[in-house]
Amino acid sequence: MNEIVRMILVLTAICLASAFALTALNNGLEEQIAQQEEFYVRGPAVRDIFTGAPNDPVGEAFTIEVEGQSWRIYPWVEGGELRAVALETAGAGGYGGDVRVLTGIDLAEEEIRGVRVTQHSETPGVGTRVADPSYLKVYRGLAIQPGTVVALKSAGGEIEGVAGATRTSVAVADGVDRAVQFVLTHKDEIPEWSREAHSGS
Amino acid sequence: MKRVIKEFTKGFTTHIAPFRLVLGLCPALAVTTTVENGIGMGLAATFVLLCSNVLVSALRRLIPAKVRIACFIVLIATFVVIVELVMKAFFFPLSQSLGIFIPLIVVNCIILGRAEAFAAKNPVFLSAIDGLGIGLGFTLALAVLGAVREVLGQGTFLGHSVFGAEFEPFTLFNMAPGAFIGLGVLLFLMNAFDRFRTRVRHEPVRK
Repeated sequence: MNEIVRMILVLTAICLASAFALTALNNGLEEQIAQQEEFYVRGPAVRDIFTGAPNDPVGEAFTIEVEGQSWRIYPWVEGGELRAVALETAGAGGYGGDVRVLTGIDLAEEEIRGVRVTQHSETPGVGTRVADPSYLKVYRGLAIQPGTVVALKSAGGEIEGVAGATRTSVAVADGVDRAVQFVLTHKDEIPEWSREAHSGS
Repeated sequence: MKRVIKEFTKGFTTHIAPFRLVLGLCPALAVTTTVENGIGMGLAATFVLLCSNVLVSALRRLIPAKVRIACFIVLIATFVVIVELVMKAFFFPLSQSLGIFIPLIVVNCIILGRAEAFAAKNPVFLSAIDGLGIGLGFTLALAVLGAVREVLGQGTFLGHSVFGAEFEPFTLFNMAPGAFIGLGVLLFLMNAFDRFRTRVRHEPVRK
């Protein structure tokens, strides 16, 4: 009995110490990592989607708090007017967890401009095919109207998934849908936020 | 002191991974597409090996034998996550190219192997030396294999062009088969050299 108690205590103590150390380090490095991701992943992805933007969507990005959540918005501003926005969302249902996608939405044309996958833990060679820009083209031009729901064809939507990578495709569609729903819900406020952010700097 | 030197240098000779100590083959084959990746992986693994050896050795009298593997793995995994977070924070492009192989350091057999074979039975300082020696030997092996694959497979060394613009690289060496072939050839050369050395030592002196 004593032996078992000792085993439990030692293993538990080690696990607790480990959890404490890792949580502390994660919190400490969170900001630095977010900065690196912005520079190496999100920045290039935004520039990919927003080729030809007359302003600097990455440099003029702003963060706003909506219903307790932080949203980072990358604006395409043309002639003083907000023309398009890109935002990153997490799509649920991926094989290895959430899939983070960056969606560019054209407010003037009311359609999706482009989608990029910024973070995933999907199976290399299988799920990773969904992260390929040549597949993600399938989202381009998708109309955004009140009531639009972005989903795969297999779920009644318009998006063709990647054969053999259903869960990853579903996760990406979910991520894009979250971005679309956010834009539809706050359609009138977004240009306001952009103007505030712009004048603030 | 002699013992210290012996425990350190064995990581470069009799216990060099993955050649003599046939462990850590998976990352050795997977990430050695360039010298930089090989060195990066080697140093990350060395850090984990060093920390894990030190901690396992420090706790060796406290950890009950029946749960030792579970405890070792938790410790190793903790240091791997530390490496992963630090890499993402300060060496982001390298962490992108090494990708999934950083978390896979947890199952790198070298680390659990040394914890069980050495650190669990030896004092802290010697365990640290053992970890450092074997880790750096592994790094050297990865760098050499990485050099072979990068020079032949891309015509560059650490990103700098070696042969000039007209060189047509053997792209085979960028892929898995090339890794196996490169590793095999290096192992063959090591064995041949060792055999040659033994023969020379035993040959009678000719007049």
